[in-house]
Amino acid sequence: MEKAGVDAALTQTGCIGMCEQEPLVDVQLPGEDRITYGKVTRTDAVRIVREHVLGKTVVAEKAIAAFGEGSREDSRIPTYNDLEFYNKQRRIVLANCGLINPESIEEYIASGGYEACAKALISMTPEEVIAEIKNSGLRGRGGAGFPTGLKWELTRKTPSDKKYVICNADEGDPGAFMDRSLLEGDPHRVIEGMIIAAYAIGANEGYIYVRAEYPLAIRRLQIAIEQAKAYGFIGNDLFGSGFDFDLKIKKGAGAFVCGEETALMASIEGKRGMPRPKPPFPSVSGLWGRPTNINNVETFGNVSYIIKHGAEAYRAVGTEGSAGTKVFALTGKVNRTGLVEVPMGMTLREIIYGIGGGMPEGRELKAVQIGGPSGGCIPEELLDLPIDYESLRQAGAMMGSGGMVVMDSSTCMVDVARFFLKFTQSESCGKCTPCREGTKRMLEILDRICSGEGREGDIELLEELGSHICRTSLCQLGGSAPNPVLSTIKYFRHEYEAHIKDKRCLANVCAGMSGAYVIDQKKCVGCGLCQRVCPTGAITGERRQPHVINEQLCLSCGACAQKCPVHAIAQT
Amino acid sequence: MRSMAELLQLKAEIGHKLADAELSQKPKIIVGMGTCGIAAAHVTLWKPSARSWRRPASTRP
Repeated sequence: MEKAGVDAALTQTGCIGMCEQEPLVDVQLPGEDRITYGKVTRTDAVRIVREHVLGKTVVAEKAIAAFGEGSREDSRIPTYNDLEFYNKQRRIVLANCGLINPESIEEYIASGGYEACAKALISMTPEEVIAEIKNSGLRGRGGAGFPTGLKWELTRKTPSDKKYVICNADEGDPGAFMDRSLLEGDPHRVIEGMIIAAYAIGANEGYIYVRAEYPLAIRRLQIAIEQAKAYGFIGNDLFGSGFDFDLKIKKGAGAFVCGEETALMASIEGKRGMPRPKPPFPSVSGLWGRPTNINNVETFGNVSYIIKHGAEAYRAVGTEGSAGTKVFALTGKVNRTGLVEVPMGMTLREIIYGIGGGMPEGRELKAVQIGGPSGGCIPEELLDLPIDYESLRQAGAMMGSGGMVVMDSSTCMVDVARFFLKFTQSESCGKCTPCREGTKRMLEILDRICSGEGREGDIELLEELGSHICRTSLCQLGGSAPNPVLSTIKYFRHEYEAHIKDKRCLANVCAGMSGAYVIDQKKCVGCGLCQRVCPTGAITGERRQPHVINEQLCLSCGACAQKCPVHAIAQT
Repeated sequence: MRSMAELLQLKAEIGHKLADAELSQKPKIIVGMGTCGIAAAHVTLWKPSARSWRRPASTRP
């Protein structure tokens, strides 16, 4: 821009949630609507600057939405409210994400930021703040769904000269990126929620425990904390209330188990991240033996809205037992992937088909994996299940932190269960026997089922082992590790039976049971695409001549069949 | 920060400053700068499956 002499302000924002349209660029001319461009390439960027910024003409075919109320003359460009991806969402926590510059405290303040903090500290007692949170019905968004106000009250009532508040940003579920997006897109919202919580429970010191694998989130948090200190939102005698608060960042080293609250506190204390038995709960004896309140990133993200707009306004969203909204990372085989925030009680069908736009190429949905590695797989026939804590628990899944992976008929449910169990098994800290040994034995059984060596009775053995591990593990990582296996057995038992009895993988995924791939010589056009994607160099052939696959080298991975433009490759 | 009045005054000042920047000065280009969630999710989720071992082109950063 400098070289071309373009006189424009270049700024940044966080993730607005439309992952499938990234990279996104917005252009706002003085006095006009802000226009969003999607899937912007290098060439597009030059064109947008030339035509829109300099020429004042919107590049309509690349524009995906306009901010504002739809008063634009150019009707080819919908507003955000017109987009199906957004008009079914209710954005409370993500309200600022993708709109403001996350590195500017001024933009946060201009959008009403820190007003809830001022209201709480100036005009409410800590007990009134807790009562408001209790009345709102807010429940922990980290997965367990414990009532937040009750947790705060327990910590407040425990006598101690020192208390702590901790934000659990150790987001480790495969496929989940809700917390990271919030920290990267609107860090001040989380900090404001923490200040209010600290005031309510009487804590003068706080920690944000965030994974070291989130460098951008850490950088933006550091900037936000410095800015909040400079503006007097963190420090001594905040708003003349006599309340002091300091906030620090603690980087986690990437252990999944450190998302468990007692392991997390051990990690902050400099010990090995391992859970300990409860009780005592952290609200009684937490960090360095002092009463500690731990909430997840998204939970803190809800607090300022509740204090500012009142518990009633918050309760008006969601269901009676699960108030408010929930952020989900919608991924997998769905047309519109991304980060969505929906009112509790919305059905899975509405999320996947209404917001996500359904399955690509009209494929059939097979299951939805919800709640990360601790969650479960929900089959197509339960798509009208409302998303709330109780309904999901009854279906054998759990809310988790919000990962939602959509699967179609090309997915093998046994393989999925194995994948998630492999993850939790490798992340087991090893402290308790049921989790350390039990998940290992379950994984061995799944490995042999997927390699075509499953035995009669393996399904029953998995069920028995899973049930024991759930009941006897020390922490929730172990206690919920068998969930993906148990839920897939519950809803997809026939797939397990096909693997064991017929030695068949119905989705043709498990390599141990897949036949070799062959190229139909009549259909092959010799384009060479299969040759390029083959990871073992098993495919040979001259250009524009039919290719052949060397069966000895073929791994049956299927990459060639997926790439072939004329569908000439199939399994025998 | 001492009071709500002080915060609201600050908010008004910032509001004026931002409005001035947007309405009467120069064009603004806003780039979405977050870690790509979907790309990360695909890499994490589907790495064991050779079928989808390559990150989809649409999600490459």
